[in-house]
Amino acid sequence: MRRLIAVLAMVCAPAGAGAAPIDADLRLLYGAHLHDTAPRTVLRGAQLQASYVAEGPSGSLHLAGRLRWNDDYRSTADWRELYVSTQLRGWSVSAGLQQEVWGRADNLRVVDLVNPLDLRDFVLPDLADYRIAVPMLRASRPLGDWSASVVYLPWFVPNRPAKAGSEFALAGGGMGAVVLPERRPARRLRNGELGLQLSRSLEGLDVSGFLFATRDDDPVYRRLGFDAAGLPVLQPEYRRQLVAGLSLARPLPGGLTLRAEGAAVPHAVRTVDRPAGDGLAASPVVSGLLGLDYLWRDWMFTAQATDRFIAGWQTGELQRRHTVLYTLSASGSAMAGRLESRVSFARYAAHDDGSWLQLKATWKPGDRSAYTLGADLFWGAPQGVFGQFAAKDRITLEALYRF
Amino acid sequence: MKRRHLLYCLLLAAGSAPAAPALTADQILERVRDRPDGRDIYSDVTLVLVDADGRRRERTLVYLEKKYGRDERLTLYFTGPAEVKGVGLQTLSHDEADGRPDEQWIYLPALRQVRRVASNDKRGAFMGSQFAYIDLDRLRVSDHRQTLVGEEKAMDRDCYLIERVPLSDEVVNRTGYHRQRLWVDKSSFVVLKQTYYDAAGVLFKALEVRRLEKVQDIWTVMESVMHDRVNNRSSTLVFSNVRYDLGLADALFQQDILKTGLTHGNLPALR
Repeated sequence: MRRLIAVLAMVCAPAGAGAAPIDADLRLLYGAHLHDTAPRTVLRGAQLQASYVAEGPSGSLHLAGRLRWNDDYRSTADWRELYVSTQLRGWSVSAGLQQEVWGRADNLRVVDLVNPLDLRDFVLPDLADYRIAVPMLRASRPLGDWSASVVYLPWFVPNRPAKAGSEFALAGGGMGAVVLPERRPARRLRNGELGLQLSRSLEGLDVSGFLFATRDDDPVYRRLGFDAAGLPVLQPEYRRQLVAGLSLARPLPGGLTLRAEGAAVPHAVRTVDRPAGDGLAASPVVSGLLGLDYLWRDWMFTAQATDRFIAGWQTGELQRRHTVLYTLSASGSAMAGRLESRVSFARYAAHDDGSWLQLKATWKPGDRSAYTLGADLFWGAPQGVFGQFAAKDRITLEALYRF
Repeated sequence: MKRRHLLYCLLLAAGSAPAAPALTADQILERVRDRPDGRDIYSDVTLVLVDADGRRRERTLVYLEKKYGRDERLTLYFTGPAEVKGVGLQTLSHDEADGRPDEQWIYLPALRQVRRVASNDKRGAFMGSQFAYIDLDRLRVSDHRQTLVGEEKAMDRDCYLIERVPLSDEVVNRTGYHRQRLWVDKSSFVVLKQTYYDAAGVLFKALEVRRLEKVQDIWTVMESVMHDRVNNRSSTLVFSNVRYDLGLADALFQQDILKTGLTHGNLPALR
């Protein structure tokens, strides 16, 4: 793939083509716990990000990379995008490492299923910052009043959990099991993921429908048997699944915009805690989202509710029959765009899973610099999704300089 | 053909039609709104923001507009600086006679997502400038009561002076303006100057055209400045490389273009 990109880059961006300047920014990050949780300083880091677009007579090359340093991970580097694009018989075609976003939700993923996630910072950054760019062939074109988009992902890349011992490593408490090395699908064409999305606007209604033959980005743990000590031996696997979905947006009277999303997996394989069988269960799983936006001057207010419903839920399931989450957010700007603020609140209906409040204020004295003060506050039971971080309430500072 | 109020109106048409001797205020503004200005428009735009201390910031964008029957589609795509690069806005403006509100979408590269936004409140600042989103809107005549209050010069050109007052609270809440005065060039039907008043009758914002040129025989506003008298900030829109009737592709007005971005590939031979 990299060789292909290099070749295409030479084709698309010969010397003298319309090369834009490199956009780069450097961020210095600091975070501290608000409680006495050790260590008091929770984040010291820096991030260098650069992007570049070169346009040639027959296409363009898009590069965006990121280098990160912090105490937990030392230095890491990743591509945010690295692809070439061209026009081909009416299709806009791009190939390389890309991010593709489906759906219209505010920082929630119901139908935004194409790219996996890097969960090193849990779900605290903006979604675009922890989506993993993956090898992808993407083609899109208008079809009459419709717009069609096709994606093919040749290599499966799963979600990347926070590493053990890091700030946002998930609470697990040990599985009491022997977990074998995970088994990922071989990199063959037939193991790829294929998605088709059709969209259009009709009489004030935006509608998109999609089919996505993919794999679950999180593993299920198939029980192979028990070892000599009686511990279950588990094989992590990434199961194939077909997802069908729909998303809608429509303005309502009174300045509201209604958004809705739904995704159904007819055969969703899940890990269950049952003594018999291979420790897996399969049945349909349906996820839905309902959201309302309200625009007032330079402010956008958003309320959302989501539910992930397991049809055929059985005793021993590790997840609830319904996982209901509510979110509220307000974001806006003032002082000619120099001050940007966002406050968001998420709460699970199940009390144990808890809630999360995030505050952010960014001051931009000029186009080249920005300073952000943020806070993340968690509530809930120690094993809850948000509650597990209740002792890790934090305040963060970020200084950004563009050059 | 329709006209938008500012960005749209900045790219104005013209005509050589002489002013009728006894036009009403409504008829004058209908002429402003309905001036022919081609089937589509392309322009590079620089938005200059100047604060009260004289500090200056610039944003560059591409302006694309195309007629679809009596409806119009607009795509604005920001090309710089890095802070706003890739931000895109699209608007579908329906014919005023239809009575349907505009439809709007915004693309923020940080989210990589096209979001529909309501069009009921257009008082927000356009990319931090003194232009409000309503100032980019297509001129509507029937939601105001217009009065021809006299004749004055603007840019040394003879103008009709028209005062307009919103007919409903809904219009006030959408625009933020309780009263407006417009100086409409008698020969070209271009709005050369506009002042805006709040509920107390205080003039708080003023628009002035600085440069008017003929492009492909169409009078086109190439530069205009909006001055906010309350905070003493100003914003200037400078148009360049304006071209009409290029046969812009429909794909430039679909949502996907906001995600893929404008490149030479989808703007052949334009830039």
